[in-house]
Amino acid sequence: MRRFIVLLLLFTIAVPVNAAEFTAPEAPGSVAEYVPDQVDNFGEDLWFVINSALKIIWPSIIEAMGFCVSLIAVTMILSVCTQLSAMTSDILRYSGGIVTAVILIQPSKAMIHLGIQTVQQLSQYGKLLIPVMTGAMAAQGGVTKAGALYTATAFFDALLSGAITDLLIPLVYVFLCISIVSRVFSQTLMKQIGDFTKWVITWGLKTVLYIFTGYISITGVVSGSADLAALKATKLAITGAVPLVGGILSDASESVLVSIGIMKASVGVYGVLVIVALWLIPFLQIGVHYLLLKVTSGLCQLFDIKETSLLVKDFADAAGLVLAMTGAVCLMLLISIICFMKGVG
Amino acid sequence: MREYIMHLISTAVLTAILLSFFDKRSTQHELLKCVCGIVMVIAAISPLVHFNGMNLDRYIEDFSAEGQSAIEDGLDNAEELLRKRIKESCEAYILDKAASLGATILADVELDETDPPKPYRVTIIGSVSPFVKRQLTHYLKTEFQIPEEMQIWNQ
Repeated sequence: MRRFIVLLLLFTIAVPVNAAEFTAPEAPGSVAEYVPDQVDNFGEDLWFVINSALKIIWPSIIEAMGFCVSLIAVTMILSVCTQLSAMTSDILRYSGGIVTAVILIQPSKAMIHLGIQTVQQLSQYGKLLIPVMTGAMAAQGGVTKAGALYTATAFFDALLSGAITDLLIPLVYVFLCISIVSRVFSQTLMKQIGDFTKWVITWGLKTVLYIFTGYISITGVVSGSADLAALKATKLAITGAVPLVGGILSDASESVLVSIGIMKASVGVYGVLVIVALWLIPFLQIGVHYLLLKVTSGLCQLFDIKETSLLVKDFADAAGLVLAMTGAVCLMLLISIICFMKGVG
Repeated sequence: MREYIMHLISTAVLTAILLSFFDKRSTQHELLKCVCGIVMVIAAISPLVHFNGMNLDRYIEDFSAEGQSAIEDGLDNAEELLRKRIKESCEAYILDKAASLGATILADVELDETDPPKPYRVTIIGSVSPFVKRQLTHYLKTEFQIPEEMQIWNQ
């Protein structure tokens, strides 16, 4: 009969009786249809998310190709005009640069806006998911580690998303303005200021990520040992009880730990899928924009109009910076969730 | 941010206008250029002057409090789950013992508030013979440490 009871307990572990206690926050409306309700096979589900994202980005690829063709056409016309009338080459250069900037500004603005929106959506979803993971980790015995991880993730998430929205994105606009001036009017000083702005953005992102990963690595090890000691103390208290009651307490504690572990893993996997889905579609859209601008910049060089080609390259760099920002927020959340999923110790 | 950029641009325009009054090769122009450079640097770093380092502590305190609240929720859920499992297991053991004695009963175990929770009172529902009652009373007393006065028997 005891074996039957143990089997019954194991059955209750396999079917989480209290699944409602630790549930992942639902995927936001924009990506809800790409994330399966139940995560059965992480690989297949991730592939489904990637496939859906690839299908969605087609219109933006065509749109991006459209303005790249316009840019190449403008450069080609400029090249022909420059060859025909060498006397007015300065005016042609200025007007060519301005036309190029006008073509690039609207799609770049849309891309930057998409980047801000992605960062905000990721941050908001993180604010819902991280408390659930924290609660689940604490319930598994990792009270100290959960507290340290929560504080680090919430703090760095607020810092990074705040810095991106209020500082780095305006700096990208500053970088673009400086680029237009430096490329159109061939200003070396402005070019140097532009390069410095770009360096500040990349350096800022890298530093925040390095500090975050360093902090959670150290606190993970330190707090993990404290939690293991607390768990051992609880086990000792249980073994001190009456044999039958002690056995029941021990079995129940073990089964609760296992079922919370299962719930935490499923919440974590679902969370990872939602975060990837939230990030992937804008990432691909901005990524396509970035790659096509790079290709366009290369093609523009063939027509020997250096200013236009360099201006397109600067806009591509701005797209790269926005990509890096969304990537940094996504990476930070993924690292944090994986640390929560790793468990106690 | 907009205010900051406007402030920066207006400072740059003002310094440029000021510089245009002097001859580019004159000493005054060079001197003014240096002063304008310092003014521009001050304008650029002015937000840092208003930076209050104490706010960082407050933010971390806020996040710690939020984390603590999430931890307490998680611990409450785990405790609830654990109590449910212990109660179910204890009742299953009692029913198993009654069945081995040939009796069919219902058992409702109540747990105390200790950590981990232990059974302290039980209500047995069902008609049993005096022999079975004696056997079960002894079992509850020795195996579960539930004293006789905490064993409630209902027909």
